[in-house]
Amino acid sequence: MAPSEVRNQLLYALRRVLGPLVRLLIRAGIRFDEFADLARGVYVETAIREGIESPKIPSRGRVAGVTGLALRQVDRYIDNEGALPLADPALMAMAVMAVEVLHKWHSTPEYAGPYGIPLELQFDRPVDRCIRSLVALVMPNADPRVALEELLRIGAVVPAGDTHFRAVSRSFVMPDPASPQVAEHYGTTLSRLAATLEYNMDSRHPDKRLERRVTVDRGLPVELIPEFEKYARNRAVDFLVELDNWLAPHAADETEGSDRIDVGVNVFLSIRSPAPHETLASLVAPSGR
Amino acid sequence: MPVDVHGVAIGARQGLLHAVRRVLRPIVRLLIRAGIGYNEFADVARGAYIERAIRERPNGIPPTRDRVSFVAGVSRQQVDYYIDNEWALPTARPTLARVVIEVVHRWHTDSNYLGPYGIPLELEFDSPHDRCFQSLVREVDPTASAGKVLEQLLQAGSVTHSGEKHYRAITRWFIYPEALSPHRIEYFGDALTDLAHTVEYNFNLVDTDSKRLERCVFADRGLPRDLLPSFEAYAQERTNQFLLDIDDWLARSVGTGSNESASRVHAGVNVFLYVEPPSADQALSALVQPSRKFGISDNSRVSSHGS
Repeated sequence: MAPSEVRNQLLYALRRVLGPLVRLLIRAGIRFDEFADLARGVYVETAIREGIESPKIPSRGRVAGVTGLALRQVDRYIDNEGALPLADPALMAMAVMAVEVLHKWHSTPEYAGPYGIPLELQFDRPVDRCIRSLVALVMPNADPRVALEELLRIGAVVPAGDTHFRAVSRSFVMPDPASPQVAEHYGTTLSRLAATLEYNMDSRHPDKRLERRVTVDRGLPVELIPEFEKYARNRAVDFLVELDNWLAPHAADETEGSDRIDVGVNVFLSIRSPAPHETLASLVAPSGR
Repeated sequence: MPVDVHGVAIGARQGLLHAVRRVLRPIVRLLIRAGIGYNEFADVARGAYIERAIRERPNGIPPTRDRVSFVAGVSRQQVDYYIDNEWALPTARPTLARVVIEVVHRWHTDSNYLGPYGIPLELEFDSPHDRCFQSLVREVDPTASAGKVLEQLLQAGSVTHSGEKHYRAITRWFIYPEALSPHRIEYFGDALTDLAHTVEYNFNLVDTDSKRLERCVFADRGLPRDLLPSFEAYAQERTNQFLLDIDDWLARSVGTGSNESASRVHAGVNVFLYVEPPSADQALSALVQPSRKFGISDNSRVSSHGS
């Protein structure tokens, strides 16, 4: 059991982390019961998959003991694969392809001109250096017209004259804020940070993962925010391009067959709202009891 | 794209539930390690639902308790409990982390504490009165204990002894030394909440044009495992340079001519490296011991949970 100060901080951290998550859920019409059902399943899943009995296989009773759930609830999540929401594997396929096409366009010598600037490409000519061949390089079975349509839609590619297309961004930014891809992006990004932080908080891992933050000690004057965002964005692009260039030679097709892990670096800017200080009672209409 | 009554794309709802499942896993892993079970989690989550249902007021009108109960999907009795008992939701006092980080920053950027070439001066603890470790801490927070701040910096390796009386700042970063300390947990909450707000801001249905910086670079189809240490070393070195540039920009911009009474917001930039866990494709039933439907359970605690 954690000492009380650690425990209090942990519960308070949980309250804070759940705040924005719950706001999204409420907006999507997902109420507490549905969330609680999911959270119970995550407790069971985590207790089993994260090796509470490592290296032994846990019993259902042990899972119930660790999670504080009734055995029948544990049984329900173990015996019904559909009890926990699953990812739609097709959901991110388009986004992943768009990211990879942009990456290849900016980093493969055949598709870049002098100074590494991506060449303007025609759709299908010449056959070995066009949008069609570029998409085939990333995903041989993908429809290059659909891929191009997606890149045009998100604004990463623009027409250049009547027959050519120009890559204007190396980054893929989710365009539709209410799309399933954005929901998936939310889960992916937050779970990655949570996993890195949690990894660094585990005493079994003496080598910590890279995780840094720079902040303004007493806050930034509001009028400087746009300038700060602009500066951070420009520097972040340079920084990420450097990392991308380091990674490019090690792309899968060049070192096929080796044991590979999914790794990446994420940068984000945050602007923190002041913590609310009003009590809940002062924010609701007088009770009609 | 078809939307439901909440204006959310039909597929997005399922996507959102799956996203929440993913976000909760590392959080729950941490909670289980700290001995916090589902019931305690649910108490906090229920309170978070009620709190959000109250604090989010799209039309600015205070909601009734019944309305909160309906929106959150929590019984009216529970809504009353959380509203009428301020202690029902967990709170914690801020740790010294913010003071410690600001002391390190000021030591590296305030001209009063810098020597030639911008190198931080070695400081004595309490003399001279206006340029010592104590004055440095006092300028950051007059109520903070300079002794405790120094102890934490020494423990973290950000500061070291220099001779018998002086202290030397050796890194511009403060890295929390203990694995599961109040500082780290506070930071865990801060960082995740910040990222959630940024992603949510970009997720906002109303404003699609002014998204906040949130970018990622990754190895297409993975990086050979043996290259991970080299990539981590390279990323660390470039990250330090990138964040130093940002820090310098902030020190210059905030230091020059900004008026003290101006409205201020907390802003920052985070960088983190992630390694995706192997995909969890095995069914849970394959990962637990075979169920015993009859006989005595192998764990005495089970019986207390109504099995």
